[in-house]
Amino acid sequence: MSIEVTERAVEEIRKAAGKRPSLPKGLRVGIRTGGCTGFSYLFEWSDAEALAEDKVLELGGGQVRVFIDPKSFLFLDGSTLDYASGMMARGFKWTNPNVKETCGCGESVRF
Amino acid sequence: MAVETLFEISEPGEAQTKEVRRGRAVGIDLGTTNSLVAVVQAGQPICLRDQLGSLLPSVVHYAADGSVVVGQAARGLAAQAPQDTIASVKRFMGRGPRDAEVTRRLTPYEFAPGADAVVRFSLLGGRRAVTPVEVSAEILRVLKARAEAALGGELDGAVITVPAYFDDGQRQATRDAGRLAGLDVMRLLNEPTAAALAYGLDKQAEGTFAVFDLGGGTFDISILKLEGGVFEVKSTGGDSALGGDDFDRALAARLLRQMGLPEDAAGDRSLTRRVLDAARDAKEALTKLSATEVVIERRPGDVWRGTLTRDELDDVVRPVLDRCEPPARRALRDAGLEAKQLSGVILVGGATRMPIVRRLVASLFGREPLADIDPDEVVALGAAVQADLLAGNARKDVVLMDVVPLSLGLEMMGGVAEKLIHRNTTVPCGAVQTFTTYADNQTGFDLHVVQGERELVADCRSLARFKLTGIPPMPAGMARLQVTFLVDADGLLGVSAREETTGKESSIRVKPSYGLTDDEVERMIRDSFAHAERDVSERLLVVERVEADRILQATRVALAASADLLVDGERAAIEAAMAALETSKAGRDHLAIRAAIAALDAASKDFATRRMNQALQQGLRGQDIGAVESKVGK
Repeated sequence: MSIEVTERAVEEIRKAAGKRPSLPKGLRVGIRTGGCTGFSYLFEWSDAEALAEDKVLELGGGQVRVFIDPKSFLFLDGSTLDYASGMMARGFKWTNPNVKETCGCGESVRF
Repeated sequence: MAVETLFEISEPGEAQTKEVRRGRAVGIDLGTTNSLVAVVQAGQPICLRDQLGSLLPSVVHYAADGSVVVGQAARGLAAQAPQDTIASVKRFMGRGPRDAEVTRRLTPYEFAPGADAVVRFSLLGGRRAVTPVEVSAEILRVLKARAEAALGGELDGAVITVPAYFDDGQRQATRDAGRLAGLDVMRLLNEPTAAALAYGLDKQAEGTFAVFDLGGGTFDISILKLEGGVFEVKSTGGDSALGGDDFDRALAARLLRQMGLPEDAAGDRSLTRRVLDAARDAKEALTKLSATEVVIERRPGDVWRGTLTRDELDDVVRPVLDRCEPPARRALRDAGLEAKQLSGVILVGGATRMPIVRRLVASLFGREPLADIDPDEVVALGAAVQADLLAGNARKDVVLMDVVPLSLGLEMMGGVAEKLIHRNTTVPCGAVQTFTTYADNQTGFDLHVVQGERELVADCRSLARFKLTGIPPMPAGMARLQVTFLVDADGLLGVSAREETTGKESSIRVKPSYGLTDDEVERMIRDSFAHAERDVSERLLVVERVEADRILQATRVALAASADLLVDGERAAIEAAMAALETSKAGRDHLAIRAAIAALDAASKDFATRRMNQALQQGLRGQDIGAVESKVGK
C-alpha cells in the first residue's frame, strides 16, 4: 500500500509552502464525498498537526509532509502525485488507478 | 478520455469556511434604568467599571451648547431640565408616534411633530430633535469608550441584550443604535437567555428555567426551555411599570409620614429627592441588616432621624411586590408548565437582592432561586460570554470546540449521507448546496440533518428533522432547493432550506455537540475508518440504485405516455434494457448498474429525442412553457 509523490511534486510543494506567510505543518490530501460525480479531491495546507489516525508521508528528507486520513488512503492507494507543466497550465496532477470516471470540471471523480 | 485536472494547493478550509475572527468582544446590557458592559478576561466574565461603579444610568442629557452628558451626571440634571434629559429611552425603542402616546404618560418628554415612522424627542425648546435610536447610541458610545479604555484597543464586536418580548422593530432599533455608536453588533441576545448563559446552564443536557427579572422600573418573567443546547423562550410576561423604584417611592411616602409631612412633601422637589435617596439607601442596607438608621435633612440645619426595620420595609413593599405574582403565574401557564417542572429559577435585577423578593420567588416556584451572580450584572456577564464565543475565543471548559468534531450533512435519497460541513472544519463556518426533487409532483422535502463520518444515514447520528412543504407540483428535477448549513462560533448549527422557484423557506437550529462526549466522537471517527471500505462501496451502490430507480420510473412513464412514438422493435429493446437494469440493480456491483443505466439510456435515446421534438412542436402551438419543460425533463 503506498502513494507515490514524484520528486518534481515534492519540490513544487516545498516551493509553494515557502511562499505562504507561515510554513504549514503539512499538506493535507484526501477524498471527500461531494461534487457532481460523488467524490472530489481535497488538496490543502494544514496549519494543524497531523491527527493521530492520519497516514503521514515524510518526503524530501522530511521537508515536505503529506497528511492523509485513513479513509482517503483507501482511495488514493496506488496513486501517483506529480507536477505537470504544459503550454496551457501547470499544477499538481493525480494519477489514480481507482478512478473510473471524471467529470467535466475534473475536480470530481467516480470510483 | 478522462479530463486531466491540475490542482493548486488550497488554503485550509478555503473551500467552505469563512475566517474565524478572534478578538475583543463585549457584552452589553442596554437597560431601561442602567446599562453595563462586560468582557471575558482570563476565562471569566467581568463587568467593566468606571469610578462611579459598573452601572451606567441610562440617562442622556442634551445641553444647550450641543454637548451630550450620559449617566450619573445626566441623572443629576434631570430635575432642572426634564425635557432635555431622556431617561428610560428603552421604552421608546422601535416605537412609532402612536405607540409612544401610551408610553408618554410615564415621561415628561415633548415629541417633535411630524408623520415620521419613529418618534422624535423635541429638545431645547424645539431646536433639536433626536430619535430613541440616537439617544441609545449615546449610551452605547460611553460603554464602548469604557470598554476600549479598559481593553486597550478597538472593539471587534458586541452582543447587546434585549428583552425577550422585543418585536422585530424594537430589535432592529437596538441594532441600529449599536451601529450608530460604531459597534459591530454580532448578535442580539435575549436578556433571560443571557442570564442563563452567565450561570452556564447551557452546559446542562436540557431543562426548563424561569428568569425573574425585577429591575428599577420594569418587571419581566420569562420561561426558557433548553433543548439540545439551544434556549427557546417559551413564554414571557411582566409589568412594564413595576420595579425597585416603586419600592423606593412607597418607602419614601412612609418616611414622609413618619416625619409628619404630606406624601408629596408639600411640593418640595428637593426634599422629595433627598427622601427618595434615603429610602433607597435604607432599602439596600436592610438587605443585610434587620434594622437601620435613617437620617434626612428636612431643611438646612434641621435633621430628622429615625429607624426602619426590615419588617417595616417588608410591609411597605409587599403590596407592590404582590403585583409580580399574576404575571409570573400566567407565564408558567402560557408555557404549559407547573412550577414543580422547572429545573431552576434565576434572579435578575437589583431589586431581587431583597430578602422578601427572594422569599416570594421561592414560594412562587417552590425552590430556592439561583442568586450567586450579582443580579445587576448577570445579563451583561452572560452577553459577554456569548460575545467571547462569537469572537472565536472559545472557553476551555466548554465542550464546544473551535472545530466541528463530526461532519454534518443531510440524508439523500436512498439513505446516503451527504456531508455539507466536514469534520475538523474551524467554526464559524458554512456551506451551501443545491438539491432538487427526486419524484414528479413532489410538493415537499423531508430534511434530515445527520452527523457522523459514515456514508449511510443509518450509521450516523440523527440531529434533527424538518420539512419544507407547499411547493407546487413540478416535474422531478425542476425544484431548486438551496440548503445552507451555518455553524456559528458557539457551535450552533442553523440549517435553512429555500426552494428558489417559490421562495418557500424553512429552517431549524440545533446544537450538534449536545449530548456528545469526547469518547463518542472518538468512537464514531474510529468506526468510520474501520468500515471505510464497506461504507464507500455501500454508498456507491445506493447512489447507482437510486439513479437506476429514477431512470426506470421515467422510462415507464414515457412508454405509457408516448407509445405512439415507438418504432418497430423499439419497445422490446427498451424493455430488455430495463429488465437488465433491474437484474443488475438487485446485485451489488455498482459498476454493473452504471453500465446497465448507460445501456438503457442508449436503447431509449432515439425514443427520447422524438418525445422531445413532439413536446417542442406542441410548445410552438401555444402551450405554456412550463408544460413544455415538464416533457423535456429526462
